[in-house]
Amino acid sequence: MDYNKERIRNFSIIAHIDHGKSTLADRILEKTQTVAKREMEDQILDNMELERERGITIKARAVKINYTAKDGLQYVFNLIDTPGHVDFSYEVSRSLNACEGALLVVDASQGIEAQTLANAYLAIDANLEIVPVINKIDLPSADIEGCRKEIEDIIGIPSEDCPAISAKTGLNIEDVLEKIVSDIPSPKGDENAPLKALVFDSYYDSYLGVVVYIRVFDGSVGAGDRIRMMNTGAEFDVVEVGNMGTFGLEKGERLQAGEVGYITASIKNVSDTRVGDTVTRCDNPTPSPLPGFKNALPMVYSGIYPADGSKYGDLRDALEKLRLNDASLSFEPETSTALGFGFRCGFLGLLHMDVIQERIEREFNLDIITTAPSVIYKIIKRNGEEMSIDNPSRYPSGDEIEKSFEPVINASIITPAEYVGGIMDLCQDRRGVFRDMKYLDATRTELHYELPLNEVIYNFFDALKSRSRGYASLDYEISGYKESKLVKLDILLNSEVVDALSFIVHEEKAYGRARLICQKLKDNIPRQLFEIPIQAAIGGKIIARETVKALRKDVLAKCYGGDITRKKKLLEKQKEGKKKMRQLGSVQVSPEAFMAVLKFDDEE
Amino acid sequence: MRNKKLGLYIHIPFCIKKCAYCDFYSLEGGKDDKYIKYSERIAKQIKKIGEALSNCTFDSIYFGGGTPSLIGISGFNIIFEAIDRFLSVDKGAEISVEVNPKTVDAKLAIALFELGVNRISIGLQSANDNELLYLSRIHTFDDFKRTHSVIKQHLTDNINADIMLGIPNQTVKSLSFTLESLIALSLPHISAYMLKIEKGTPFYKMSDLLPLPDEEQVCDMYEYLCKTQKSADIPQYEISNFAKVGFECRHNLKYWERGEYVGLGPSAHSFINGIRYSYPRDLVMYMSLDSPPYEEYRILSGADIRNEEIMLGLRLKKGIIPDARLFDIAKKYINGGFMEYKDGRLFFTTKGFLVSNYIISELIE
Repeated sequence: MDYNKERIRNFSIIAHIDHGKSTLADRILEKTQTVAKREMEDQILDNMELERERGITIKARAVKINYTAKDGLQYVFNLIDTPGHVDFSYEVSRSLNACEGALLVVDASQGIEAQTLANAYLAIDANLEIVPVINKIDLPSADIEGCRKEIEDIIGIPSEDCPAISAKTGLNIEDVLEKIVSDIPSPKGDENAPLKALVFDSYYDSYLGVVVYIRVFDGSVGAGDRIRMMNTGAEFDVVEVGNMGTFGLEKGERLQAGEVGYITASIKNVSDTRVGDTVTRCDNPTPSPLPGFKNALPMVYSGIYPADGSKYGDLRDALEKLRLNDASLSFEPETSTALGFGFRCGFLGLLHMDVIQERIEREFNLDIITTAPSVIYKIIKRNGEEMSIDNPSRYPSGDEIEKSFEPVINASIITPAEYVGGIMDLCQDRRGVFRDMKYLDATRTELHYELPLNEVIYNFFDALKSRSRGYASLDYEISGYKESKLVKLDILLNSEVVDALSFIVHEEKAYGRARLICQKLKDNIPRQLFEIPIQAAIGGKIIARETVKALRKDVLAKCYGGDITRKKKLLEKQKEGKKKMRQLGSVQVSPEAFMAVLKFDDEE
Repeated sequence: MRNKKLGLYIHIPFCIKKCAYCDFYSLEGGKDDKYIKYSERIAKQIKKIGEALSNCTFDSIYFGGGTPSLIGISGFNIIFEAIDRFLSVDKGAEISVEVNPKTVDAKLAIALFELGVNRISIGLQSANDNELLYLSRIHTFDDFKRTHSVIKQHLTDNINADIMLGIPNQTVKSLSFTLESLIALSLPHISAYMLKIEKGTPFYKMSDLLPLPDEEQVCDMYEYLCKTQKSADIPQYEISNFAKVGFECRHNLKYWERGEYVGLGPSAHSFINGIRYSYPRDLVMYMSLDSPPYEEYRILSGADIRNEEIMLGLRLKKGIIPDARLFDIAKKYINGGFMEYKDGRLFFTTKGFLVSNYIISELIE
């Protein structure tokens, strides 16, 4: 179809997790015959295995769709999918900025959740036309009218004629398509002005180099143009431009104002093409870049070590491959006396960390040991020196510290009213500062807390879910740093500090956590031929202690009737178990012991 | 043709009543003629191995169970008839039968003697009746004494008693009574095993309710056992076996020394020509198929053999001759008092026997 700006609709789908965003995207592709039903592998837009399993989109994707509307005219839809998690709110905001409108999907039985609101606010910030869509109306618990009311009362957008659909069964999908045509404005912009395009995603392809997804606002770009990334300053010669088809890239001539597509330019490194950057042409540059560019900075750090020390090289390869597609992943080599050679990795948030760790294990088939997640602490030493610390083992001793600061977040929690008490206790316990509380409707409440990020990375989300039977939802943004009384807690096995187990904790919580960790370690360190003291210490002061008693016997069983094999298997299994152990001084510790310390749950 | 010396193991999978802790393959009840039918089946298998192993002689035969004494005179007659006809058995062969108290009378004892049986192993477990009750044994200590004297009178002095450590309510003191009672009867051999709560047994389901002695107590029992037997001149020759010199069980020594043996009956294991194999724990299958399938069949690799030499050899008090690799790993256990190295042999101390699984798993490849 020829270029006709009036007939382009650029939009995203936004929703709380599990409200049916990806299913709706699939149904749109199917209805517009972009994908024949038989070709549908479930949820084409989420094409990472892990994403499909978790039902969340981790990286944004885009696809071009041709649609013949009821007015008989052909339209081009560019559907830009957005990552579905708070860790990626910056990426979400960039994707939204590439659009003129957004479908806001709300589950008819769940109503508005924390991420529905957060995403709606992002869309409003980006001046998008919001089209609410009420989904899952096939469920017996669906409350369509209640949902409409919520959308109007809480978000403040009209919803009397919004589509009520079932993406699962395909019911009323046409209504959504027609709404896109009628309600979402066509793009503005001047194709003859200097090139101004927004990078909203990129990935590494081993043949093409980095494939950069862009939305052109002004001007045009085509093969042979010399382009510049206005924030990173990198320059490239465009090799190819085109559109994102359902099953791959479709090469085209030029991308013009209002269009969404890709460019390739033999780019080697995704970090040269940061999300949010502005692409312009070197021969006729636009005077100012698009606003809102940020370098996505890691917020959470953890050490990743190969469970088998000889796999260090494999781990490095895995991290390098992952970074090709994920500029927000950072890592550098680190050495632990306990765990040997590994990497200090920085992540956007907890989910990002989980996803990376799981992908290393799954896609690269590596067993890894991860250390407790840490945030970045800021310290002013008595000698005036300022430090940023992402690794507890580098935390200075207490008497060197003048002041210490930790990152805090603004958390928004939406929960059924009956769980408010329990959640407030939880936030209180996690050193939260209450900000305000709003009644969204008769049954649901929105709580605002300022919480130290350090507390949130310790199973806060799981605790929140367990206290609300899974109903509470969380959204947060980093709000800054706050002075805090922090101490470094060391764990000693057989009187030797295990550096990989050290962590930073608020003074008041040190005792409780020390006891819990000693207990956990006691339960997870197998008994050995000598007694093993487990101690927790602040500075030189021991504040908790447990002992793993020496093993005195294993069972002397009969090798009955010459059954040697059974015994042999038992011993070989025991041997295998020992191979996985880490030798910390004279003590053998299983990877599970490290994990148990990381995954402990205050709710126990 | 080599003239191999083999052991023969015959499994008798029947018991009057299954004990609550027992994990061996054995069945209660069934029809009256089951012992005869089973003995005939074994006789048939004996014919088969006799033909297949015509160049071998047998220097030990062991009837294990279950309760072998249950098959009675007629059962033993059927089996021994086949042995005489089809196997070549050494003149001085050790022929053992496991029995339980209350299942042997003078008639059976005389019959076994006449068939050539020269060693009896009695399942006693404890000389304390309250402990026997916990183990759901069908006999008392008096029953044992009667059975023992019948055997001694009509059959042989070469008698073993199985005893157990870690029985509910057992203490070092009650163990001491068991040991002293056996020493008084001048038994030349005892086997002592620790009670292990195995999955699938009634004990497993009720293990929380059992007044089991704790780990420390069981260790003390084992140490007490080793000490007592030593001073009674019934020294330890294997992790769980104690015998007067010359009364060591030759058939069981075959297992530890990697000698070859053929096993008959469901769940029986064999080791011959570098292959270990076993039959499934399934009496019906064993009875109905002419060539029962193997449950396990493994041609040993070099590493298998080396590991077996370690794990089996170290069960023996005399231990093994270590190579440099082994010696290197063993050093810390020698220093820790778990092992000793003397006259070129590496062996466990009492303290080491108690944690031998832990240490052996470190020593094997």
